[in-house]
Amino acid sequence: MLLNQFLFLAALLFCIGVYGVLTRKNAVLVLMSIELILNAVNINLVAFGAYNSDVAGQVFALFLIAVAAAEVGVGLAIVLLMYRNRQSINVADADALRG
Amino acid sequence: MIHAGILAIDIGDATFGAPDFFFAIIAIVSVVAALKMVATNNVVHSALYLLVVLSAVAGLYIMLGAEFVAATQVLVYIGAIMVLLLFGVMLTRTRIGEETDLNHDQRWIGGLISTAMFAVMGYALWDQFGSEALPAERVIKPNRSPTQYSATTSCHSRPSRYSCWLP
Repeated sequence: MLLNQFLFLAALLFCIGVYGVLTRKNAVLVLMSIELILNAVNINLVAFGAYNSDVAGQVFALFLIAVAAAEVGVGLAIVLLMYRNRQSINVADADALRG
Repeated sequence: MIHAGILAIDIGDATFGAPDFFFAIIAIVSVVAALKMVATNNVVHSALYLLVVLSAVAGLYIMLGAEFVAATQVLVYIGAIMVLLLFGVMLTRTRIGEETDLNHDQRWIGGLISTAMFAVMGYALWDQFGSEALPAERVIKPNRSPTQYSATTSCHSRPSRYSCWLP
């Protein structure tokens, strides 16, 4: 197997995730797209770990999984507070800091 | 472990073995599910498509010899994060069913940006790792001491005019 096939699949998933972040209005869907992006990064880490026969890539991947879990927890808490205050989770409505 | 010998099909000078076959299945499933995830008009369906993508990525980790990462992926992502996202859908009272107003109007800009990103990343990857093959055996080199991971050891082998970050 080539290294490149994993890297290309990861790049494709990353770009699909970026498309989701850029086009979705619903904040929960934006969080799901961010999960997709983080998974694409994880594929890269594990693939390079296998390429170098090194366990460091898998260790980084495990750290990234933990960070992603914390991120989605904090993100959903923010989304729920936004819903409670504005009755809407449209990301375009969160413009209180606009000058 | 699956060896490339079984199910091997010769296409020109390249060999299309069983791992490539399974990789193709996983890649097609994950990309189609990811595209449907960002395109569907139903929030719950989007979450379930994300589930398919995460499961396919777990299969990819097993192909790469990272079984522990695959198990953690199933436990953490599929077990915990999906439940959290579905709770988010429920608590924000998103409509269960088809919705019409989930995307921005300027969708084509997002498509343009992501396509351009994929073009640049694809060119860079092709240029750098054109035909680098993964090692056939998924083993971790055993004779590594912890000092070999530190930033200082690689400095000592360089000429002295390159400064090291650490003493």
